[in-house]
Amino acid sequence: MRMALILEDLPESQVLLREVIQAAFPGIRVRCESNIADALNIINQFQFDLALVDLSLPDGDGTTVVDALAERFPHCMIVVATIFDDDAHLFPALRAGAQGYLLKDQPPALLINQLHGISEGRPPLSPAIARRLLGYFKVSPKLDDTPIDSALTLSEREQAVLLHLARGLNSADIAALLEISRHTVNDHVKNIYVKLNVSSRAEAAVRAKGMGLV
Amino acid sequence: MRIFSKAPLYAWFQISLIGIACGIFAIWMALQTPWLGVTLTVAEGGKSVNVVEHELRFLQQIPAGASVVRLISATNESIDVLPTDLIEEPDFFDTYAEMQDFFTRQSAFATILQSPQVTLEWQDEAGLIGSRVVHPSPRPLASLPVVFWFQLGVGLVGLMLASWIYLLRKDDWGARMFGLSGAMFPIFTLPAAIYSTRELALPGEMFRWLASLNHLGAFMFGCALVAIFATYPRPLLRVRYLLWLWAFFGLWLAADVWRCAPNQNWGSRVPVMIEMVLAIVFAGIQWRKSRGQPLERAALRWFTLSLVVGSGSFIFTTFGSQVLGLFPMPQQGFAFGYFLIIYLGIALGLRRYQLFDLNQWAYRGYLWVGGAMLVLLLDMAFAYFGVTQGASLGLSLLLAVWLYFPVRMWLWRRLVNHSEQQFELLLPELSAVAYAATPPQQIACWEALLNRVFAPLELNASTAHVTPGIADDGLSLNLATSGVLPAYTLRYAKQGRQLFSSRDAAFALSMTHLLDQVLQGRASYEQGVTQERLRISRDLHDNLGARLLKLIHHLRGSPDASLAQEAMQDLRTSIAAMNNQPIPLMSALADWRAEANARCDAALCTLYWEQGVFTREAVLSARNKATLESVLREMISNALKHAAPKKIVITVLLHTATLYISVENDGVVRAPAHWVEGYGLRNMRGRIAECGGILRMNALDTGVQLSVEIPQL
Repeated sequence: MRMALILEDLPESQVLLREVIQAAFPGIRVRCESNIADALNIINQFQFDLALVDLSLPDGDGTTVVDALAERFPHCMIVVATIFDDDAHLFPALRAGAQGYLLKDQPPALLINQLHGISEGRPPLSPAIARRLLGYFKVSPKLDDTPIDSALTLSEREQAVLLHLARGLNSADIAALLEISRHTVNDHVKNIYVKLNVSSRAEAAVRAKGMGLV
Repeated sequence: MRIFSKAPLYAWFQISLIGIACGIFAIWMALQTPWLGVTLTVAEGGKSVNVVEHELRFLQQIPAGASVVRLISATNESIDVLPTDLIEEPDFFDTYAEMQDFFTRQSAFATILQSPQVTLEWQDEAGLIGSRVVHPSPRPLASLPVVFWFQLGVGLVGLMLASWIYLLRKDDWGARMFGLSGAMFPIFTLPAAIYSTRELALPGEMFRWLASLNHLGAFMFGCALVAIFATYPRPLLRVRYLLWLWAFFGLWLAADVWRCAPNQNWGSRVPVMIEMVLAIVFAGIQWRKSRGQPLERAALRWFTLSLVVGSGSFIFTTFGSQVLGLFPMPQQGFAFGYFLIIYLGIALGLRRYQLFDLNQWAYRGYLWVGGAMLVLLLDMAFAYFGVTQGASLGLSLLLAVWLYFPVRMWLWRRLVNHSEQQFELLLPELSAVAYAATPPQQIACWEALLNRVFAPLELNASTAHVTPGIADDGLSLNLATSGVLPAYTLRYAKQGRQLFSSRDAAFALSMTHLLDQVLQGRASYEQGVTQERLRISRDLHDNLGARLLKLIHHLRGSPDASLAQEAMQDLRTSIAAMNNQPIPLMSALADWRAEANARCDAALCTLYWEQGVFTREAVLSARNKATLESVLREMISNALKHAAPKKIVITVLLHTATLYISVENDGVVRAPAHWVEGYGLRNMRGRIAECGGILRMNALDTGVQLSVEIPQL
């Protein structure tokens, strides 16, 4: 972790997030932007390993930036920093490639802990988002031009993990229930995020092709 | 070889033209016998022939009311005039001998009329005898009486009606037989028109053949009538067996024409009666077989109604006047009108396109027939009391109009409009459909309304696209989809007793249109509400959320920081509750469990979560979810803050629509009995009470338990 981007319009939150990032990853350089235009601009100039992105910004929805970051830096850790963790707000960003989210109103110690979690492959996944994911992968139509490969469908284990998350169980409980390690549970969650992103991109590509854009 | 055009309309014109040509021929024939210019009638008591009307040129010579004694030709051939010579219809005679005698006398008269001058001997009421020389002239067209034109008209209308039906439904045996019967119509009316309206005489041989032609028409009409009921609505026997009918009655007719039958009764009256009875028997069989078939029943209702009314009236008038002598015989020509009644009824029954409005048409038919009967009865009553024919017709028409219209109005209301739905009265019910809380309730309301209005035997929601309106000849009615309501197909109106009429279709259409409008009103209202909610929640999110966040940052490290954080969480809960949709209980529990898990984890406390088994369908209102969520949050906060517990046990149960939640902790705290109820606790109690719930606090051996009981919805 060498370079982090903070996209946040509230100065107090910028300060908080900078502290949290520097505490979690000592020695990291942090760049702050407070609107989408500037953020898109800076993405083209520097390389980022970590990005904390707020969704409601003065000039639009932060999901655009998530999309651009995921496109440009496939290995960048993208985290949504928001005050609303409901699925309606978060789901588009997760589809665009965000690998987790933080609630900015929580104590810094917790935020640091969660950032560590995401970087170590323990992304958070609320029941509401798990429910949304269940629906997404179940109803997601079989795309005509794309062969059905494992990258686009959830494995049985992943489905089981998602189901328990949707019931409000935490990863320790799930690990105990499925008789696997907590580490494995987290791996499944991480994979679910990746598949969500991959499948949504495949879907977008097919749609673009259908519209004659590609 | 094709005789008629293939297009029904042209073929119909062709047939009509032939009919009109026959009519013109009949007129020509009626004008052939030389004319005296006197109108003769049988005097009261039937003893003498009186002059009731004559041209002005005789005014001085023949006193009114004088009776005609005899006619004398230029060559001094003479013949006495008898009342029987004026008889309209030779069928009046019982024996063939009498009939032959009549024809012979007719020939004698005809011969006298051929001479250039005829002496007419008369005798007035005082017994004074006089004579007058008359020069027979060609009969003028204007002298043909109304009854001649009436019969001509009946014959042509019958032919045209029947041929039209036949041409439209050429493959239907019922229609074929109907067409055949129509072709017979002019055959029995035109000859009758000629001979029944003759001034005094026709050449006997010509008369005889005209009368035979009339019999031919009547016999064959009867056969066709029997055949109609034997084949429609459903064939009762093989069509080729019907040929026996014609063979049988054809032979009988021959026997009649060549006078092999013992008398007229056996020659013509009995066979026609047999035909009538056969037709009625077949009609009865058809009626029985059509049980549970509304469409066939509807057609038959017409058939039988018209058959019974038409032939019944005919029999009533002929029997009543000739046999029982209840009233004077109306001119026979007019009686053909009854056949036209039968005819119109059958035509309507066969032409199934008309069936949609059948029920109302049937009643209209009743009323028309009723009106006509009224005129006839009054006319006969007046004639009975000695009013002259012209005056009696006028009087009876006048009276009939006075009586008929009020009665008609009254009956129409009683028979047809009694079930008419008042549209205004449906408005509350339509609104109830539109404003029902959930789509299933809307559907239930709508179905109940449809059942009440149309009482169909079947009410099927259909997913396939249907064209709104009547289908299957009125057996079913299709309704368009509207809002969340599916399209419907209603079958068998009024519990199968009626067909759907075009009026029903129009009514249903108006109902769905109105419902659409009310639904649209509701939708735009709800859209407005949703937009307003969205606006408020965006405001809360952007303004209040950001300010709270600032506050949290400012208070960081101070003891009040957690207060601001809890406020933020409650804000999230409130915003989530704003979309006002019921939440599945399972989802609500999952959200709470995850939050409780995270908070206990952070506080190094173990959470034991126990919940009952819930169905997927169990839901929680948005408001109750929000209330319980914040109450639960506060309970956990309080436990973690004040008691420093090692474990928290949360139990959720649902019993008879009451949700029961308890939070236990094993922390070190005073028993609730000693608690000083502060703002937090009072606030919690108040919010729970607002939702109709109760908050309880218990001291346990191992700690404290707080529990909430709240109605699920």
